[in-house]
Amino acid sequence: MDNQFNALCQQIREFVEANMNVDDEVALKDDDNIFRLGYVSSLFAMRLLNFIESISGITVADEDIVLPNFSSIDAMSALIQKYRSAA
Amino acid sequence: MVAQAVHPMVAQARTFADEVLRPQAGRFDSEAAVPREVLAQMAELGFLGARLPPEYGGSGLDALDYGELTVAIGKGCPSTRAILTVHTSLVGETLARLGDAEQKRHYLPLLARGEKLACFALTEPEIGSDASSVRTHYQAVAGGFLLNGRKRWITYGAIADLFLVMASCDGQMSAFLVERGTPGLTTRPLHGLMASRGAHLAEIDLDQVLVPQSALVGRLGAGFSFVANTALFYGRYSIAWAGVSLAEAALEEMVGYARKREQFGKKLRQHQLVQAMLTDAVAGVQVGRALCEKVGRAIDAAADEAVNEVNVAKYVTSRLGVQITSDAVQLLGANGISEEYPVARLYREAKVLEIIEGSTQIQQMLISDYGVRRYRVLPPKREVARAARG
Repeated sequence: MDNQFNALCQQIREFVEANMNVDDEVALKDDDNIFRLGYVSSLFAMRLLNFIESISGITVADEDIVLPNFSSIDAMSALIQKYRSAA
Repeated sequence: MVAQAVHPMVAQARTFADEVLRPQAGRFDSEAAVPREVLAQMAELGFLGARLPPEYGGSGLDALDYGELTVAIGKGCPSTRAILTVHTSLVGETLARLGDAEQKRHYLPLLARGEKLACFALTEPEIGSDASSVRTHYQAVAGGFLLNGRKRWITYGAIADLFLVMASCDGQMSAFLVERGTPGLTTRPLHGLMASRGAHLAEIDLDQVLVPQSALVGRLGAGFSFVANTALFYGRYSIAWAGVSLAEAALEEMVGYARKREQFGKKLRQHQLVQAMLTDAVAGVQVGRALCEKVGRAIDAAADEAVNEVNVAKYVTSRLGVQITSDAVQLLGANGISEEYPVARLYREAKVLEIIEGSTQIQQMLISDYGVRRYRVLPPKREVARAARG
């Protein structure tokens, strides 16, 4: 994993953490399903898509715009990695 | 004050509104129909493709200019403005963002030219704010999908050629493009409405409607989280400016009347209680405009804050619209409730903005959640605190 990729993942993590609807401190794990755990609502999915595209410069293809690809830090990291590998 | 440059299309829209819409808006309302020839003129002038990308025949207006276009048309006739909200914003912009290459290539030029009018079919007889629970059902079958269900309160549904339909299967919502003429799709105009009388609202029945695989917008299951939410974001931006349009139109009526009408030997505008109403209206219009312009700039900068701020703008301007149009009716007194003046119609039209594209109460839920994140005071980070202590 290169530094740029790690930085992207960290930005995504901070973006998610800043938008979680939780009262107490929650330690967000990389494999936490943020929708199922109620940390964010599905309204947040579109913002995640826009955010990832804006920070990474990738354009997520139609077939990848599905909730599971945005449901955890791990899933979003894998999505970015997939596009970086294909580039 | 330095005059700001006005986009030529916005200037055209203002002229069109003054010459075509404003003189006829009352008739469109009483006859319960914006005539097709008016929509054709809008298409001819490029308004219906205002926000669509130029590569698909649109004019590619930025968000701010599109807001001004919405205000111009909305001040002329709210029912006519509604075609921009549903056709250009809810469907056109959403297809431009999430449609596949073939959907964009095929549909966007048709929408930009107004050769097909589009509408957004989400709401149902039993499903309004709880939008993720739609009962219209889809089933994957050989050759595509079978749709069954009923939609209601669909703006421009009575005359639209293309329907962006939200349907559900096993708890997963998906979005489909359905063309008028598809066997099993029927529409019935809705009448007896308080507002949006000219906007061709309809109930839509889908009875064993077979659409091809290519009708699916986005992926299966992405209908609510991506497609509907994207559409509603664009729709809310449009409605936020629509609130400004009604507030401004009402303020202009108030000013015209208060400068002319005399009571107790002096102009209405010289009475302090009238001055209070005018002050609230002026301040309200400027607050609403400022919020919408802030969102417009955020959209043009592709800034994430636009998603939350559009809710704030829509919430504020739709409520301001009701307040200022109500004050306009009050200021005009008995004339305010007469069809000889437009303010009663503006008042009726303002109320619907608090209901559509996320009701005031839905906005309160969203904005409250946003607020408890946005305005939460975090304890200082240890290293920062340590540095501050020296």
